[in-house]
Amino acid sequence: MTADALALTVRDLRKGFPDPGGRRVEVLRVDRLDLERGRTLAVVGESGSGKTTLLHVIAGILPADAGTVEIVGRPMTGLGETARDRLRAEHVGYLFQTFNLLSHLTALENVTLGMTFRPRAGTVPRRLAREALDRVGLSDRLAYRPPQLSVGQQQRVAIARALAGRPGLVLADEPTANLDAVRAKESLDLLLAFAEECGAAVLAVTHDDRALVRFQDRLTLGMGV
Amino acid sequence: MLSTSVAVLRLAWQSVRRRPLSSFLTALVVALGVALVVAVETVRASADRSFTETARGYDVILGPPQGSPLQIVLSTLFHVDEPPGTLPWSAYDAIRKDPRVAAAIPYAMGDTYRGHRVVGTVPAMFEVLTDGEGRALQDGMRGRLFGEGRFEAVVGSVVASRTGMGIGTTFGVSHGLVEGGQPHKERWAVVGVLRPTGTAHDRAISIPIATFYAIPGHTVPDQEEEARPLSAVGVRLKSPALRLLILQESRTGKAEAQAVLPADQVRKLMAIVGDVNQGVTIVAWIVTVVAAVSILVGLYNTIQGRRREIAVLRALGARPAHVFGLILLEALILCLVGGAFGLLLGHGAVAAAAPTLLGSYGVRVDVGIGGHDLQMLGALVVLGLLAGLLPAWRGLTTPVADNLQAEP
Ligand SMILES: Nc1ncnc2c1ncn2[C@@H]1O[C@H](COP(=O)(O)OP(=O)(O)O)[C@@H](O)[C@H]1O
Ligand SMILES: [Mg+2]
Repeated sequence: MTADALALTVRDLRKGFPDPGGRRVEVLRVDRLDLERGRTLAVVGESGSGKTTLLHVIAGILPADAGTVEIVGRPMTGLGETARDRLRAEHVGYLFQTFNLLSHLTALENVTLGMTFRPRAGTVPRRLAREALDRVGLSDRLAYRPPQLSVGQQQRVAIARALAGRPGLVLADEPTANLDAVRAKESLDLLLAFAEECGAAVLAVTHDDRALVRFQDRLTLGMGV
Repeated sequence: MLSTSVAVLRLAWQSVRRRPLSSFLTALVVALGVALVVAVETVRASADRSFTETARGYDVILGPPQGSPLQIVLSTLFHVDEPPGTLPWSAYDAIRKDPRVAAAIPYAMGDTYRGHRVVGTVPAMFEVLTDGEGRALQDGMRGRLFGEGRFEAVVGSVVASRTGMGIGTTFGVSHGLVEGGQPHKERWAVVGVLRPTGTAHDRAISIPIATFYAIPGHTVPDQEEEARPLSAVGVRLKSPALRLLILQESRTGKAEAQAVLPADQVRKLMAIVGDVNQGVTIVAWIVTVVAAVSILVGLYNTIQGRRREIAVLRALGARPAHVFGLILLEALILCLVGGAFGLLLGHGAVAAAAPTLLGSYGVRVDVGIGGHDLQMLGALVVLGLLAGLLPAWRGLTTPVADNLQAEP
């Protein structure tokens, strides 16, 4: 990884799924996408346009059918499953619409879990997790479990989990869709500010017009596919 | 690498604790199976040891010519079964004078008092015979041994606790092993009570052999010493190696007695008893295996409800091996926690029952943790891993992308 490497580069990316008849249907096509560290990109497109699929392929959760994805200068495409998992653990933070916190773990354990599977995790994760929870204003809720937290607090835990390990890239799939307008704005403010402090690029799927204007770049999916 | 493994272990532990009731119940079934195995194994090992140690009391036993060797050993050493016949006093005299013999103990049996066998013998028997730990029977007894030719008796601990007999108690003896016979008019006084030894003598009443023949109604009352019939003679040799020679001489000599080797007979007996024991042990193991299967089924069923959790772990960078290991560890934790609890339970139950078994039944069980428990833990590790394999495989193959969208 070089210091000036882009957080994300995508070239000629293709992804399809078999339809019920077994024929392959292409749902995603991105010819070119570059995202520098510290920049923010909103992904828009109607439902079913492949936004979630794009995030999955970038994160290496799904393999690409064709094309290349590089995260902080390292190729994600062309790797086996385990190698993709490693790369994701090291350099990608993930934020979900439904937060996807584990309800039987405390806030601190949930945030720590975001760094547990890094190849050289060591003892740092717990310290970083505390710092991140402190940053999102939850230092007095470390031992709370998600059901004991408000929805807004849960999303802050999720933001802390996505950024605690200082990833080069944060992927967010409709992160504010489950929140009311006030909470959604607060949440987005927090995400963008925290990401900027960490020097992370943010790629977020969003439907919200008010949210859209907060991003520096925009990618619209579903046109021409 | 190490820290990730520790983290996965923590996750497994937290996962097991998340389902307290089902985890507790599955671990409990494992515990019961293991406790059963421990109890059965302990009793088996103790019985083995007790039989073998008791048989070691004599190198050779002289019995009546017509009985089976096993019957002679069982009736003489374990007070099981009736003596198969009699041998003449002269056989005892001859062996007693043999220079190769260290001790010869005569036995006359065939009477009971309140269900307990009355044994006519000599005081030296209490010195020659030992318990499972090598202590002479007379060690730690209350009172004293009976005097030769006097109407005195030494009773075992079980006799004392069951009948309430103690030092100073007097009693008369009925003839025959079956109860309800005519009580004899002679009365013996208890002068000694043995400590619990875990041998057949806990359940026996011993009297001087001369007084045994003084019992009226006996088949040969008041005869000359030479004509008195004996049930058996226990023989301790100066060197155990001589026993084969004695055995051979007995086969070629006069047919008034036969020599048997108690150690051989007990070995044969243990081979039979061992088969029965093995059956019980197998049943106990089946319980444990069923417990492992319940871990398998329980865990397998949880995976369906944990698809989102697994997908989240993968999205956070967990590799398939981590998910596999997580679920495998959950099975292992249930198996080992249950197993450890079962070992405690089994040994605890045996330890709790040991004084009663010894005091009331004359059965000594060895309390304590041994190499067998390590073997058991090893087997539990294997069982736990086997039980976790299928659920872990299901976790491993849980699709990630589809399950990240699921509702929380
Ligand atoms: N595992 C799959 N198998 C088949 N089709 C799929 C699968 N996942 C997604 N799709 C299809 O791909 C398209 C894009 O889905 P998605 O990326 O979730 O859209 P969006 O997030 O933009 O709403 C949809 O038409 C969806 O039906
Ligand atoms: Mg979507």
